[in-house]
Amino acid sequence: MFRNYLKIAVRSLLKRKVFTFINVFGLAIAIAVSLLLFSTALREFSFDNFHENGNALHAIYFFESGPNGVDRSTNLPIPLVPELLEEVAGIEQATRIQNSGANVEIDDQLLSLSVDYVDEGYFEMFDYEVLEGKAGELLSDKSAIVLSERSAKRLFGDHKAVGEMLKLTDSRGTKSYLVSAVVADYPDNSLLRFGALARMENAHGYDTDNWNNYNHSGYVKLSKGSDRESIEEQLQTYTSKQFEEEIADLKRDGGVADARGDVFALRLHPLRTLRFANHIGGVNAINQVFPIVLIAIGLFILAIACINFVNLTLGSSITRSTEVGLRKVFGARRQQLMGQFWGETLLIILIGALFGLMLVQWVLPSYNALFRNNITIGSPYVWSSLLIILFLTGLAAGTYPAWVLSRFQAAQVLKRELRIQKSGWLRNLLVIVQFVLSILLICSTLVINQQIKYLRNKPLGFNKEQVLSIPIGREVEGRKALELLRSKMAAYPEVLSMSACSRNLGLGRDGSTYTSVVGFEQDDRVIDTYWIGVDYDYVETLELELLEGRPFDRQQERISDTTRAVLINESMAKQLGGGAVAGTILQTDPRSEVVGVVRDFNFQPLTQEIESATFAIDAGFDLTYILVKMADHNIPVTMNRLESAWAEIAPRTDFRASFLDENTDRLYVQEDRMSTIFSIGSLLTILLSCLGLFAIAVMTILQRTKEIGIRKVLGASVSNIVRMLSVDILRLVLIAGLIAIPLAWLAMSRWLQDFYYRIDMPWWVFLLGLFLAMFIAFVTVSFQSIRAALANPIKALKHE
Amino acid sequence: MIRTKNLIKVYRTEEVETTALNKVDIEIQPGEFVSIMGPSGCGKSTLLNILGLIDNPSGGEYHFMDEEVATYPERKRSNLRKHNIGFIFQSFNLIDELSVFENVELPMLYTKVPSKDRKARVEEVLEKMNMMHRRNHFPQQLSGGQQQRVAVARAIVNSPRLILADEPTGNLDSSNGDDVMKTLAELNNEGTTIIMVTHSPYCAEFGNRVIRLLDGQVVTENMVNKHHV
Repeated sequence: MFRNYLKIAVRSLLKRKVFTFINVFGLAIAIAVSLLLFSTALREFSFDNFHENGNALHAIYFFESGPNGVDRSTNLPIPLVPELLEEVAGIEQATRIQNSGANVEIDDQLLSLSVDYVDEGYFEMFDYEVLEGKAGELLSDKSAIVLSERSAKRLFGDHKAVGEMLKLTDSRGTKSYLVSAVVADYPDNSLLRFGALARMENAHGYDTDNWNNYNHSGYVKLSKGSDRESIEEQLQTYTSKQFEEEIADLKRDGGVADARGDVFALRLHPLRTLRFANHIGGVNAINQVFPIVLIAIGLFILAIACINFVNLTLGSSITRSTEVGLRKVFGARRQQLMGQFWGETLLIILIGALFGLMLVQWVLPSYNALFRNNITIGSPYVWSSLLIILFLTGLAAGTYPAWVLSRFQAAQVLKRELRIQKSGWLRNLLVIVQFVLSILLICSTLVINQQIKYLRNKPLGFNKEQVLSIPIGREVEGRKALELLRSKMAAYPEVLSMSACSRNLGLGRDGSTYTSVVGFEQDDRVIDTYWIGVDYDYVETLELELLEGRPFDRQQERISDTTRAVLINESMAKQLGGGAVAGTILQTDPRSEVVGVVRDFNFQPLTQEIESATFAIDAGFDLTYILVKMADHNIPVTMNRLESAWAEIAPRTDFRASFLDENTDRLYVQEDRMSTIFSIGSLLTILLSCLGLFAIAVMTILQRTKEIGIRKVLGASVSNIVRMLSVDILRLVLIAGLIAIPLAWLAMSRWLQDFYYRIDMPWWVFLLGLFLAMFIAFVTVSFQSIRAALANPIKALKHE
Repeated sequence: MIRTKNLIKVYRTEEVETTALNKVDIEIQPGEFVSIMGPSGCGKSTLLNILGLIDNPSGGEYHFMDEEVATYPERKRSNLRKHNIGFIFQSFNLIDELSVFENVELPMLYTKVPSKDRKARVEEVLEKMNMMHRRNHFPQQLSGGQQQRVAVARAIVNSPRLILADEPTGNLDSSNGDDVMKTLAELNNEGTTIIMVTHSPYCAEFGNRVIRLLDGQVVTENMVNKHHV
């Protein structure tokens, strides 16, 4: 029986080659695209789900509801975590993690190593696999260091690493560690990946009594039977005692309690969803909407391919009716027939999946590059996605046609009394659904692209085109590197000015960001401000506009400029009360004096409003980026000179300079990806929808051949016929547009909410989207209708 | 073998109600060759479909092989049908995507005949119908007469006790029509009961009884004087 089914399936597919091609092609594309998108989304949802204690693991963060809104931060003071472990029942284990880095000198080579300083509890919380060394005593010694497999290989090659001494050098000096173990690398779907682990006591600024230094994150493992809510309740009691002063200050300054009654609280966030906790400021966190959008677009495209399949199968169902009738006469039962047709659907889907997989294999390298993924065709994400897709497609594309086909009554079929509806409401509905999805994506793509264009072109308040930013690295101290480069480049007039800063503008090629917020009390109010370490010529180099006072001034040898003087931005001036603020003494520790005010510029991404910033030539702040303003001629030559000068200053540190406009572009990588996905998504949805329309046109014309012939004989013109055949379809597309446009408007308004700086919703985009869809649909349909209209009417009538 | 009493079939659409069969009483014994005749729309095919258990009557009794089957659900009818009844249609109703061999084999797939026996049986009936040399051809490659011979082969492949033929010669020229009628007569001689709907008095004479229908009612029943065979 199975062979009979297979034979008949293959032969009917071969008989209707155009429809088979449309189905297989559509399914292959839909399966390939959704496979990639689903795999990416599954990976996002799988972050850190491999820890055995996964459900009990949580990150700790501070919640602060101040007068300017809610602030959440995972930066904790050093004594906090050990105290929580001791005082809060239900916290079974805890660890602090301070991310840091150091240089390691091996065989005269300087290698950088990322080191996380952690507590011993780390290994009782997270899963790890010891490759070398003894489990249980990994960090029992204060001078022990645990290496990841990759670091061990990089530092020691194939030699045994355990027992080797490592000399780590950073800005504070050099310290020796003994390698106690090598553990397997965490998979790339972990936020906890590390190069090396050392004891927290070795961390920069470690002081068990210092409650003012918020410089690390913390994780807890809850004991069995305790849940997050009950622990957070205990934390509330704890914070009300330990942070009494902070709470009082916040309330005094107008902090508003949130729904849970807190202005200030310690809260927990489950590790499993930390990947999506961008509200608590994780650098690696992403918006959860992103994977959901991926899944949605994948489902859209799958749905469109399935709709094509359903419409084509139903449209040509009459050709299978005799077979159904006969099989029933010979004793086939309804379920058997449904099974048979379902099997045929599955066969087409499998053929589509095969081509889809080939397509995936082909585009995977460029796709991975776009998403910085390393999905391989053999990865579990791909196979689980494939299973989900096959199941969904089989269900969506197979069920209804199988039901309809198996419904034919033997008696009716054999008496030739079967009537197939010419244009079923279902077909129209499905076409509308297809075009709703297509128009939704087209309009969204247009809005996203407009917003990105706006982000790219918005003046940021500083010169981003001519200023180069060079990450300094750890080999040479920042100020020294700046002085050396200044003197080496002094002879070249193309270098217009040079400065440095502790916080890059945008995201450099080193991919790092560094943020420091300082809070102090001024005139009985708490003032929070970004604190950015800079050097002379900062204002000139970035071409900031000075509104009041003066920039830092080395000519007049004002010694105080390197110790006391600060520049502030407009927002900070407003916080200080506005008006003329130059000369104001800030109650920082030590005190500082405002010498000038610069106009607000976007030192943060455009998703955020410009906040208070204070700039100081502060010796306590490492300068990490050198800023070079260049003349706009001879740029390649100047770049070469800078590079060779850099090679002399820091021979073992790569020259990874980038212009600030590249850096600010890099801030919108996520938006760029979103835009790419939407562009490809809308292109494919419209392509597949039109493929379906094309097939519908072919079928309709076949069904109406006689009518077309009679109309022509009676004097209808070609344009009459084309209009008659196209108008029905265009009406459906128009209805789809009326449904899709409000949806797109709503979705895009939501999306734009994420940007502080955003475009006004461009209404013309929606008209353009609708027009595009209608135009493409018209071209698709008219291609067939013109052919039908031009055909000789005698032929059409003979057909009958 | 077949007995109906007050058999009624009514078709309803939204606006009209058509009575296709109106209190039909017939009785057919095993081994008979009965022709049903009458003008178009008199209910011949409807009667044949009900007798063949493809359709259910709207009322009355239908006894098939001593079972009252008028109200049988599709599942039970289908079981009776596939083991006992063979069908021959005016328009052959061969499946275009299947070869001659596969078309003939099809009914046996539903009676669960083992593959080896199927092959032997298909070859046997194709031989009998003189179609063995065409076993790998597809219906479109055959003439009308050849197609109907394949359809007859398919109807007899499960050795049914009853063959229902709905205008089997309607689409054939006279010589091919003659061949089909001779085959049916031969099958009847071997003991198969045959009920045939036909417009042609000539074909009806191959049987031994003619039932005439008009407006869904039996008007006459005559025995046939055989002179052809």
